[in-house]
Amino acid sequence: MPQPERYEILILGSGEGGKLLAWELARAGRRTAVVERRWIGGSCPNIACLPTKNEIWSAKVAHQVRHGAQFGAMTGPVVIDMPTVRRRKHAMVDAQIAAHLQNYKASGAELIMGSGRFVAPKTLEVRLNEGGTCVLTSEKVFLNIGTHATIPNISGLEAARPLTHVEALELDYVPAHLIVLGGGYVGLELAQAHRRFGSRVTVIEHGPRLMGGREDPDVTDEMQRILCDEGIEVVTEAETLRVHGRSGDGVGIVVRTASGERNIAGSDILVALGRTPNTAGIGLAEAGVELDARGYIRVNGRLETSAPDVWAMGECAGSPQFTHVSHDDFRIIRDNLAGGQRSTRARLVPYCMFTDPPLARVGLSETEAHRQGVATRVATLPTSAVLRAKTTGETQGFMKVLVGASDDRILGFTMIGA
Amino acid sequence: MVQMTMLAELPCPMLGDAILAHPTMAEGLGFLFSNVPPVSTSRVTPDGASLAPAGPLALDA
Repeated sequence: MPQPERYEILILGSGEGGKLLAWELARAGRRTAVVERRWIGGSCPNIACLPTKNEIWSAKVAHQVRHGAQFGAMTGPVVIDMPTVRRRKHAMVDAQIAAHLQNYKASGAELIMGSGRFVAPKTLEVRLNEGGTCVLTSEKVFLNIGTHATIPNISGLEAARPLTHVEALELDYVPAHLIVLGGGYVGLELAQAHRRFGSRVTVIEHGPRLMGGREDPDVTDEMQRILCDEGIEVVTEAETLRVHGRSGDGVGIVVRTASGERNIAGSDILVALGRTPNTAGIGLAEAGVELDARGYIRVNGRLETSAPDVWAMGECAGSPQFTHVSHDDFRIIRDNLAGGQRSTRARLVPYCMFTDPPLARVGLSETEAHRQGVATRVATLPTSAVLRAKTTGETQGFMKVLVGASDDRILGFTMIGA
Repeated sequence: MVQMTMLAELPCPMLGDAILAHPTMAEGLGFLFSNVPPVSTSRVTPDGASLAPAGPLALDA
């Protein structure tokens, strides 16, 4: 083993929480290294939040141009040029990466491109992308290693070389018929975008409702209605039994539904069936870092792992899977390193699904309030009743608010609306 | 806006009765909060179903 290089701060994974912590501590004069396998800046700017919203915006423009006539903007047939869509996205991502590299340079944090594996507590062996290996040890270690798309064990699925969000965002053609496995955030955002680019789209959802039943039934019903109105087929309570063919060349799936088995033929298949933490095969046991039953890193409210002086942040720590939560994980760790007593418990976490119209929620849903025995008063308002929506014509959706039964505290708010 | 009201633990009339610029989507919050039933009618719904009034206010006038 080569002589270990010593650091004060070592961060594995350069996603939101990790990079912010690296830049902060390096600027404060701590000797800091970040080890990143592939995506400088993590999934958000490279393969998740930003590129999806970028391509979704292209799809919205296509949709609006296609419907220009009703606004008095007369156009001819709309042609989608996916290489241009992709090029626009690449330009944004490239600029993001350049900005990240500038931040590393300015802060003094060292970015090491390679795959890390713990060989002892707080000791990481890195197989460098440019060849060779190095070994790093550090006083403090922070794990920010994220998740990846789960490819479930369905007969023929892996052989079909399915798209995940990563490959779907790199398509330079419009699939003739995109089959989307999974009616959650990733699946629905990409389903609608590709529908608007011109694909036929079929969404297969295992559960009775979209979004895995995480939203109230009136919310998922409205979202399903909106998507179906755009011509997306949604098949709920459908268990995918088999997949055959190969994505891009032609695929078929067999699903079991309440009304029997059904064959669905498509051209491409996208898997959006949840996430798997990137915790396997990197020596976390050697590092003394315990995992929970789902493979996520076990942490306390201060994001401390079972190993001394080792923290975890972001999705790998089981935090809600949003960049803004990883950002808050960073703030909690930063403040606690400075003597604070902050915890991840009782955080108010807003989120948004970027369908069009989007779905946003903060606080409790009715279903959650009911499950928790919280008495509430509920009010709704259809988007169509808001005068602004009448001016734009974007009248789909509704707002819903939960207020305390006996006080005027707002307990939750959900909105589908542009 | 709703999140900030929640974080500040302000009573909902602070938002519902505020002057919100017309015609914006935020203006809808005033109408939304005016639909919140009075305290006396509150209860936990047995099936998680909405207790909201049957329809929205008529805003076409």
